[in-house]
Amino acid sequence: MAEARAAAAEHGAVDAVSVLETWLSALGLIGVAGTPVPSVHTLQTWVTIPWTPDTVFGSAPPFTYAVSSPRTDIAFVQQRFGGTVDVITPLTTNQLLRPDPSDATKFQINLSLRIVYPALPGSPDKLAGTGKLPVVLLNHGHHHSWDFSVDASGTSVTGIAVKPSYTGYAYLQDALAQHGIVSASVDHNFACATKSLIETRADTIIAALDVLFNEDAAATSRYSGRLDFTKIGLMGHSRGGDAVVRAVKKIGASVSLLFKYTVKAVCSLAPTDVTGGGVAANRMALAQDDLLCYQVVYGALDGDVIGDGFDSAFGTGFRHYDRAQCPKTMAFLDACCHNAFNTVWFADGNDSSDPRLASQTDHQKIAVDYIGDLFRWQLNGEKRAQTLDGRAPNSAGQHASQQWIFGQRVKKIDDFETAGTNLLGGARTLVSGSAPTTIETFGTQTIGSTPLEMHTAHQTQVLHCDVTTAPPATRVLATAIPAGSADWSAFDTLLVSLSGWFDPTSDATIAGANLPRLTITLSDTASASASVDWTVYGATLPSRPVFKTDGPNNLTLMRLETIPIALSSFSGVDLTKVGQVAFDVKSDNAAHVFVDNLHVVQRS
Amino acid sequence: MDEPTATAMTFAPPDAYAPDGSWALEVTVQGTGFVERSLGLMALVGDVPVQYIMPVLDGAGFTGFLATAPNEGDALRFGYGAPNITTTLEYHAPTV
Repeated sequence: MAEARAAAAEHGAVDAVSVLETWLSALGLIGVAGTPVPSVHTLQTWVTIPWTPDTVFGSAPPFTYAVSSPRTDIAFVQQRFGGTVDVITPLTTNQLLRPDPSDATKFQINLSLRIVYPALPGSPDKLAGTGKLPVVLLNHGHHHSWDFSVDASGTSVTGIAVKPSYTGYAYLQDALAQHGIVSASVDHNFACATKSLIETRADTIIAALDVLFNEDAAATSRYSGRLDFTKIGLMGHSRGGDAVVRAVKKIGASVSLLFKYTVKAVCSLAPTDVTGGGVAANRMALAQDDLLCYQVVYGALDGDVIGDGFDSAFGTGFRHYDRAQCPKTMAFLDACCHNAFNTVWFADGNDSSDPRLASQTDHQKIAVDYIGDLFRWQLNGEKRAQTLDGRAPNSAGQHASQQWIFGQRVKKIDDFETAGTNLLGGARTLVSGSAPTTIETFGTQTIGSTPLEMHTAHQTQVLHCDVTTAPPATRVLATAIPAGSADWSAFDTLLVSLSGWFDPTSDATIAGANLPRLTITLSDTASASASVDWTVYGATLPSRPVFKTDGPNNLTLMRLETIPIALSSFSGVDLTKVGQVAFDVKSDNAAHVFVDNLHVVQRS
Repeated sequence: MDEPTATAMTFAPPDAYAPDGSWALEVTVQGTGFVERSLGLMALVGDVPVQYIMPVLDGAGFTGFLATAPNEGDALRFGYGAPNITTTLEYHAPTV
């Protein structure tokens, strides 16, 4: 409890102690003697999960993601794994897969869940308290799983090494339990063994929910009546981070699943994006009402999901973030990699040996901060949004470039995806006679002789102002606010996402580049106006990219960073009658200025 | 990460347990240094993509399916996330 008080106070929670005690009481977790401690329970259940082969292929963008029919026949498993070498016997002997007892032509998987829940000291087999507790599923991605050894003749399996990747988030599970959240880390080894991209993984997530649902319904289960399926969170790491989005879409498309499960928040941790390299119509995207909040956490030093081109086959979490229409947040950590968030993967060998890399301990702190705060906020109703919008730093002291669009109220003004008008239907005018200004896909542009394709992972259109030559005038854009959207009095913060071009050749050239300088002017319908520039929103913003190479390839990424500006900064403007937003560039600051996501919010 | 190496490539008609689709060939590539990572293997023989890639049982190679036959002499390219490792392994149509 003392640690929780300190953490709450650190994050600026108002009246931290009373808030903490209020929700713990509501969950039935206090008023009982003793402080809840995490208790671990591994549950194994034979389930039917089809093997649904999926693939991504092509020689150049756009790539094709394809899904084959789900297969439940054991003969398919035998042929695709082993051909003429018997694999069913060793899989069955090792209790990994078996013929379905009710139909031997079909197979079942032994699904393991590592469940951690709050318990009272001395009573580890009983969930603490009496109320229903939120549920979070943690889903690892691709790694060693069922590694077959064969004899010298290649005709017989001599053993199967099983990798317990699902045990690698114990630190996060403990942190969640300490805040009254039940978490289940799901064993995705079947999906890994079958080389699933996302489809079988998504089915495994739903199967895991079903297992927990049945436990909640079973009178003799320790979970009986204690799991709140109206407060579900999903976290996925790597391909798991791609699959959790697929799971949300599958649940949303099924009336029966929607009746059972309400997923409120999802975190994609260092995810792939296997549909995002395809044509726009085929890219998987979260809709406005799919979630209360979507989060991406990704490291700039990731040596696995390396970010090899904005239009690459496997992509990064930037694309997931850019496509999501629901409230969202993304933390891009300067010193984080891929494997260090999972203790099992880290022990097998890290994906990066960069000397700038944060420690494993710091990776865990970062996961607890960002992912823990997401679920504590969305599932417990705690005031934890400060981590997700940059008001509070992470406890590791590691720099994060943050993007976010969420709040108690959100009014989206412009995402520059629609020609001629903003999202409110107001005219967007690129002012002639100023710096050359275009609206284009971020990654398709060329700066000098350098294509941006490998130097941004974003999949979004941006406003691009080329200020490398001093323009005769500074005004580059004016966007009209229609009368029906003119009242901003309920909002408190203007958001704008900003990036620049930082010559990626070296740390020195990155450091030597001019920062993009943008002035934002609000005008009301009575022609009063006020301007805010970098001297107000931050002279060191946006933060500079992290120099990164992968072999001979320079993969330094330009990234959009959300700049929040208090609306109170626009002195003298009647916020009930906002008529226009305008952008000006600094004429004597040679730079490229990239702008996206102009919105207003009432902060959470 | 170190790159894998492909040492041999053979082709056969697709078996009865192929994924959905119309397949001309199933390819088997043998090699060393294959790893398990987030970015999946991608491969091309000439301009023909290899789909539904699966590792062989001992992990020393992979199999996959081709929707059309490559051109005579087309070489294998493969890699994690992109087929950027070139090889000298070539497709040769079976002689009748």
